[in-house]
Amino acid sequence: MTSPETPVSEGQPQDLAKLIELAAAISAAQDAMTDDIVTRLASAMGEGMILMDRLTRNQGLMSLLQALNQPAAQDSLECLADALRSGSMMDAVNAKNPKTGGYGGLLRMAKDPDVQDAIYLLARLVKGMNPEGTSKN
Amino acid sequence: MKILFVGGGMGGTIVANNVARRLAREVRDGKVEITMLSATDQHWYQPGLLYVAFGKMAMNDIVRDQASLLEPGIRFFVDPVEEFELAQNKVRTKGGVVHDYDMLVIATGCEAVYDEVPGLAEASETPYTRDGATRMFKRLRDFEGGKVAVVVGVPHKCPIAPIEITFMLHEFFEKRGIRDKVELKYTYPIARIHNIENIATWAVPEFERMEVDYETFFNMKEVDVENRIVHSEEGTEKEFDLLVAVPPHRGMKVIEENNLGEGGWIPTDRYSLQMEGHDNVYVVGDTSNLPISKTGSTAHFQSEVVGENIASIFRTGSATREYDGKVYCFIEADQDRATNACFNYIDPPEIKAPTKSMHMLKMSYNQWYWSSARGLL
Repeated sequence: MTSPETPVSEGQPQDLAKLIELAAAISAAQDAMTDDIVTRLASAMGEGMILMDRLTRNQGLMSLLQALNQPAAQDSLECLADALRSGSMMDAVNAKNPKTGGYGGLLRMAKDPDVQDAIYLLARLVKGMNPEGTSKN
Repeated sequence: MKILFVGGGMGGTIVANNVARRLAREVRDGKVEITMLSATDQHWYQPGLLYVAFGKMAMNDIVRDQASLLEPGIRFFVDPVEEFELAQNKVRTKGGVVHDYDMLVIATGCEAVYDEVPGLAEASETPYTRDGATRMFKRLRDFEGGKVAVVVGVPHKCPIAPIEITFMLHEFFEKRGIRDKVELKYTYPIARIHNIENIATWAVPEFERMEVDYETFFNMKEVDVENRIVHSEEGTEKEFDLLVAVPPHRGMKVIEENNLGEGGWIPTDRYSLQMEGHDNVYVVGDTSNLPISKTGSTAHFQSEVVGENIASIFRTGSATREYDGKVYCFIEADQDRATNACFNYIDPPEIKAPTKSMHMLKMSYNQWYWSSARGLL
C-alpha cells in the first residue's frame, strides 16, 4: 500500500519529455508550412475525398470490383495480362516476319483453337452485358 | 414528390445535394424529382473574396461550375425565378417556365446595396463584391499611407468581417512596412465594437495592441466623395484617404417583389426553418429574417436540418430535426494566426487566443469548401 506522498511514477517525466518533443516537432512543422503549402495539401486532400466519394457511390463500379474479386475473374485478368505481354512479344516477332494478310491469313487465324476460345469468351461477355437480349425480326 | 430548390449559392447547393444523397434511390427510381433553379451557372466561394481583396487568393480559385458541384440526380436550370405562386405550389421563371412542386426550398441569399448611403459606392472599397475585391487589392497595393477608415452598414453578411478586415488591414500594412504611416480607424453602429458581446470583449484589447482607433455609435449617413469625409447619423464624421466599407445588405429583389418578405427577408420559423404560413416551404441561408448571423456556416448547418427533414417527411411523413441556431466562423487575426467563434441560439461564443494551427485550418477550409458544397463535409 502506497502512502499519499508516493512519488510520481518513473515513467511520467519520460512521457512529458516525449510530449514536449512532439510539440516541438509540430511547432517546427508549422513554421515550415507556408500558406501555399497548406493550400496545395488541402486541395489535394479535398479533391481526393471527392474522388473517393464518387467512386464508392458508383454502384456500377462497386459491382465491377466485387466481380473482379472472384477467383475466376482474377484468373481471367491474369490471362489477359499474359496475353498482353505475349502480344508485345508477337509484335517483336512480326516485325521481323511481317504477315501478308488477306483471306488466307484470316482463315488460318480462325482455325486456331486459341483464337476460337477467345471469340467464344468475348461473345459470352457481350451477351452478359445485355441480359435482355435483342429482338429479332 | 417534386422538390424544388430556388437559389444555387452555398445554402441551396448544400441542401439540394444533401437531399439528393439521402433520397438517391428514390430519385433513381423516379419517385422523387429534384430541381434547382439558379440565376447563374457559376458557384462562388464568397468568403474567398476577402482573401482576393488582400492578394492571398486569385479570383479563379474561388469559382466553379455549378453543375459540377451537384449530385447526378439533380435537374439544374440557369433560369431564375420571377414569380412565386405559393398558394398554387408553383413558380414561374424568367424564361417563362412554370415549375410546380410539393416542397420548395428558397435559398436566394442577399446582396450588398449602396443606395441607402449616398456616396458610398463611389468612395469606398469593399471585399463584398467581385469587382470590389479586385479593386480593393489594387488600392491596398498602391496605398502609401494616410487615414484608413472602416465603416459598417447593417445588416450585412459575415458578422466577423468588420473585425477581420481591420486585423487584415493592420497586418497588410505591417508587412508592407508602412503601418506607422497609416491611421487605422474602425467604426461600428452600436454601443460596442461588435454585435456579439464576447467578440467585442475579445477584440478591444487586440485593437489597442494594434493601435486601431475605434468609434462606436457610428451609423453611416452619407459620404462626401470630393472631400473624403464619411458622415454619421449621430453627427460625427471621419476623414479618410482610403475608405473600406462593409455595405448594408438586403434580400434579393424578387423576394420583396413577390411579397414574400419585407426587405427581401422571409419570415422563417427559427427551429423548423419553414416559411411562416407555408408548411411545404423552407428557407435556408441569408434570405431568412432570423436574428442570427448571415454566414456560410449558418446556411450549411441549416441545410443539414432541412435536408434531413425533407427526406424524413418523404419517408415517414414527419420531420425529425430542429435547427439550434448553430454558427461557426473563423476569425483571421494577424501574424498568420486565427481563432474561431462557435455559437448558437443559447450559447454565446467563447473566443480563444489566435493560433497558427487555426490559421492553417482556415487556409485548408478555403480548399475543402468545395467538398462542403457537394454535401460531403
